[in-house]
Amino acid sequence: MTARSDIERVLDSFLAEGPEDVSDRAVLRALTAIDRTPQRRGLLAPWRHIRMHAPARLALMAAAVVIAAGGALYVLGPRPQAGGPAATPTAAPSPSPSPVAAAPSDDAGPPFHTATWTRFTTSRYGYTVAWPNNAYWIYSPASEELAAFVVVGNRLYVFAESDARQPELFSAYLSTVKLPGETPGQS
Amino acid sequence: VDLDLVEQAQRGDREAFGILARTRADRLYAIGQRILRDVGLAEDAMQQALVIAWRELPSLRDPARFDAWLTRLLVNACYAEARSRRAWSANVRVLPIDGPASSDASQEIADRDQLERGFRRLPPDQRALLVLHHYVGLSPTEIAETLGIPAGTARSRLHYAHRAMRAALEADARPAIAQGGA
Repeated sequence: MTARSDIERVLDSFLAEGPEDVSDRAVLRALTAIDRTPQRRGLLAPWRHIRMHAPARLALMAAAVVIAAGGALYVLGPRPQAGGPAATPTAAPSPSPSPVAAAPSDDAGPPFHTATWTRFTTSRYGYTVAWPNNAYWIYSPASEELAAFVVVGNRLYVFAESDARQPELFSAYLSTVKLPGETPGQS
Repeated sequence: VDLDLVEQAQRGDREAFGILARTRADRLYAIGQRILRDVGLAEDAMQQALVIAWRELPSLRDPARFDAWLTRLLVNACYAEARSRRAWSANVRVLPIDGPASSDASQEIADRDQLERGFRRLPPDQRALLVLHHYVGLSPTEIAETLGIPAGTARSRLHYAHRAMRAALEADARPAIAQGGA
């Protein structure tokens, strides 16, 4: 019993011996204890019931980006020239018939309607990203590592995935990269 | 893994979890008994693991990993049981087997007793590794995934567990010296 292989062989045999079946009494005792125990539910628990939680998370983040980008477009979009006519208060835009709440693209222009936005639905994850049809938005299809990336103004929004072989470790990442050079569409 | 049952249980279905518990109880108990070397403690560890599993099930992200997760809960419950009984176990004095060891049967019993003593000398974490590897049949990588430790760490700990077991058996082969010093 000195060689390692001997130890392994002996342990195989030694640990194979022993009881295999638990008594009904012990199982009943455990089930009774379970009946008296409430299940812990955190704030995020309902999300975890979704089988495809990781794509759902991606979709959520994609939606967040679209909303954030819409806001950025509103804030950072073309403004009246300096020295031009002062902006005058205008009536709030009428409710949009589009399925998503509309927001003004700039001070003078009409509100943009998301119904006309280009949409992309991933066959792999099932989420949809939508963006306006203008030069601010560029979409490139996913590679193995990148689920999608979208350029908004001078920022690149990247959706990436972690190791899909270990879904329990899945995380969706969103990062922004400031692009060098002139912003598309802002000439 | 019964994914539907796990998901139902995650949503609070006690009946679904009851089915999962009944079908896993034997395995949990058998693993626990081999780690703890005690029927009563193994039953307590099994119950503790199942209760925690039910309580924390909504936090399980991947239902497909239910069994591995449950095994980890059981191993942790075994650690807790072993800790709670450490003072009592420390007072147990192992006596040598009397009588001739001439027959094969007697020798076999003596060998088994020696193995039992040697195994009990190991700390619970090393016992758990040996049980997962030699009884459950998990590879070091699978052990690592089950216990949530790096694969290299699992291999290293398994190596040390084998070495500790060998040392424990060698120490047991010198009872006169060991008992003389006690």
